[in-house]
Amino acid sequence: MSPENDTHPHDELAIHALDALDPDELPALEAHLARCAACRAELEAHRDTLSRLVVPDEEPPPSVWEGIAQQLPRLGAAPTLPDPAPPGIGSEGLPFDLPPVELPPAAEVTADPAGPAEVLPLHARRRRGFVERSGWLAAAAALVAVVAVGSFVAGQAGSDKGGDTVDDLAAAAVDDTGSDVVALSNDSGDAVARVVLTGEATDYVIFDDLAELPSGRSYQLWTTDPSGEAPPVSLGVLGDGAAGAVAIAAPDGVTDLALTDEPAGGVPAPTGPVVASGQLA
Amino acid sequence: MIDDVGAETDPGLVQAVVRRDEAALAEVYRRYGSAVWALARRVTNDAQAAEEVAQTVFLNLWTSPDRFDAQRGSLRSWLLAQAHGRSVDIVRSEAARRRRQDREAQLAVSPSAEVETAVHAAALADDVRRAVEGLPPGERDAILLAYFGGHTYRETARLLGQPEGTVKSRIRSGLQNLRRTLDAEGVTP
Repeated sequence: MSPENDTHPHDELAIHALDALDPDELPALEAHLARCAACRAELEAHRDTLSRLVVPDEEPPPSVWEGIAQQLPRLGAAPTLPDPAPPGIGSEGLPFDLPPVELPPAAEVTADPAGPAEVLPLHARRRRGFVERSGWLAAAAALVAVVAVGSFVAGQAGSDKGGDTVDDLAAAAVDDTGSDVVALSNDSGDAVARVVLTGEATDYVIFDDLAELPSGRSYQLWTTDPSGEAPPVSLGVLGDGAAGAVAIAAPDGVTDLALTDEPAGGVPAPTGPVVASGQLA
Repeated sequence: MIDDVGAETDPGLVQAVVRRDEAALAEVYRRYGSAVWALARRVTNDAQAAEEVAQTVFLNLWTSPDRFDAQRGSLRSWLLAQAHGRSVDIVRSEAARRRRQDREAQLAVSPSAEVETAVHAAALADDVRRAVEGLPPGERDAILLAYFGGHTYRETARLLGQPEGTVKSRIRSGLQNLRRTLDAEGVTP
């Protein structure tokens, strides 16, 4: 290793530009990148070099854009900082505290991942609001929007075309021993969804037993702070539940998760009922 | 909304996407959709997976346009980096599944076959191929196996029968040499 590598991970930067680092090496590199502009620039230069290797020789099939265009009206922007408060937040006392939920260990995954998600009406779906916590409300007044850390795409199409759909990828991720699976349970303690944290760029939410929401509503996934001090952070707007699974990108360190029912397009902070929640064992 | 999306800069288009301008997203797709899809197809070797990767990349741009920072690099290389990352995830989860399924068969992969596959998959344009072929073989093989084959550098080292440290520094010097050659030959995206 050259002396330069003692302070700047030049080799790792080049490898990372190729997405060829092992997952266990990523956190250290990302920590360095967060504080070193020179290395960020070097990574960017490598990515630019690689981008020049890609010269397309044909147009993508029309179905690629069609699939994108179809989704656009359903997808609002993921909430970003800062955003004005949607009406009703201040008046309803938004603040929130998810009551702890008793869960089976997250490692128990016995449901058949390959089966299609059933669309059933949720039985124990009472409207459960959020308990007011004055400390968080004060913070919320100053910093209303919640940064959306995740991004989302629904597992549309593909099942009749052969090849892997998002449902297939999610099922494979569940089987992968490197993944952590968090079961999300409703008020009755039934596991209705699973969040698969793969430790890689893409994670998945599998809708095992969630009702399809009416038009104008969407599920939204949040990571929450067990101490209640930090506001919940959106991991993405997941659609109406019609899909079997959706892909998201969760940050590292996610432990407590909650799924709420929100206006389609998403909200900066939870307003709807908590449909299910869970935590990493 | 922008009047003439075709004349807009890339950062300008992304700003328009922030304002929910669908025509702006369509223009970004018109400019870079082919490259995104081509890279995904070359890495995953699967048209269906490539379609989903491309859709993911553009839908993420739609829902989270603020994640693109025009100060840091070009929109094209940002989109391709995302496409590559997702494609590699697919390749690795596929490989993991296949390995589990074929565990008893213990199919061995020959390094040269893997390099061949990566070369073929790369489908490099002539001037680019010349630049890549101009690299020292150790650097060239390492970059092709990692970038188009979706292998980690450790897997690449195993495939090439080389120490990991050697592969690491070859990848780094290979990218530097590649950039110099592409610059010298005036190859731009």
